[in-house]
Amino acid sequence: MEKTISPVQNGDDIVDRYMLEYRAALDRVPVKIADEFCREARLHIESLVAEAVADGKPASDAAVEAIVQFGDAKAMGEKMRQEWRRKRAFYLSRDESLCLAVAAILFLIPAAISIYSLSAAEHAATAINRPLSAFAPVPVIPFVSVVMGLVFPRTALRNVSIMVLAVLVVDAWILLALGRHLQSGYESRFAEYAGYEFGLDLLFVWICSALRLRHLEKLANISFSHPARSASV
Amino acid sequence: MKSQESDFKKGSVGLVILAVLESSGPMHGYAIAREVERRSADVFKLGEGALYPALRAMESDGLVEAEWQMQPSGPARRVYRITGDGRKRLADQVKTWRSFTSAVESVLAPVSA
Repeated sequence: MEKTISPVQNGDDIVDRYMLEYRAALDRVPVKIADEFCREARLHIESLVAEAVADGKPASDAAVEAIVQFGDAKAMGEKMRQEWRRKRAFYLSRDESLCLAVAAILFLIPAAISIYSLSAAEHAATAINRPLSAFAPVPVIPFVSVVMGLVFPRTALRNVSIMVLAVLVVDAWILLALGRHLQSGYESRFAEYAGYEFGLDLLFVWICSALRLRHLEKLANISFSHPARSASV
Repeated sequence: MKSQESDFKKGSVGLVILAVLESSGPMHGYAIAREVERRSADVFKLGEGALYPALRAMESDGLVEAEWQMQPSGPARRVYRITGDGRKRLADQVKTWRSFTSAVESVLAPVSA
């Protein structure tokens, strides 16, 4: 979805659109910090524009020149975001926090069901320790996320797909455990637990995909070609 | 040649910013960029794309500190000032830079440009 800017466009419009793109590139930085970055960048660009206008340049040309000097908005936003996150390896954005909260809830529900089933007297003899073993994979989600965050600090924690990957790892683990459990011949609520688990995981993966899609759509809606390139045509 | 120049600049952005803040006192980003250009007679153009990430990195490392300050004319600006750690880093970097340039000068001395 390419939009172009007319060379006769007002200088403020050009700066506004540039700032919109810069702001979008900062979308995973907390609002207050991102606003501060934008305010600082805008003041700098406006100073460059004022300087060029004082030298006799038309406002639109001055604006284009100023943002060219400032650099590509997305690249600049990316750099600022990386710098901000450099010493915050375990920072989670709003979307990631939401995913983590959803994941925690999704694991708590089957865990509660499983504990409830353990408390039932008829299962106590056969199911003891078996359902609990199913909880072993649960810490894998934050663990995998943290490890991936350390190994790929630039991409892992900011990417919702890492959470999906962690869920898939957990599912594979549960599948293995379920296979071993069924072979053992014990009766318990483990199969029921695993069923809930898979269903809820599918829901979680769907939520992650929806969030990711919404994020991409948002980026696509405000993405446009670089004003300097368009204006120079 | 351009890329060599760019490499030199990249490596010295932090040093140049600290030097300006130390000698000229607290400044906002725009003033830092202009001051660097002025002192280097426009040879060293500190691109904004390098300036703000560098300032942010130095702030994270405790070499500079920043606060929004009202300006005599115009809106409030984020003003950066060098810290004690920044001064120490600047002294180290200046020493390293001088010994490096002096060594390169010695090697280049017999060469006629």
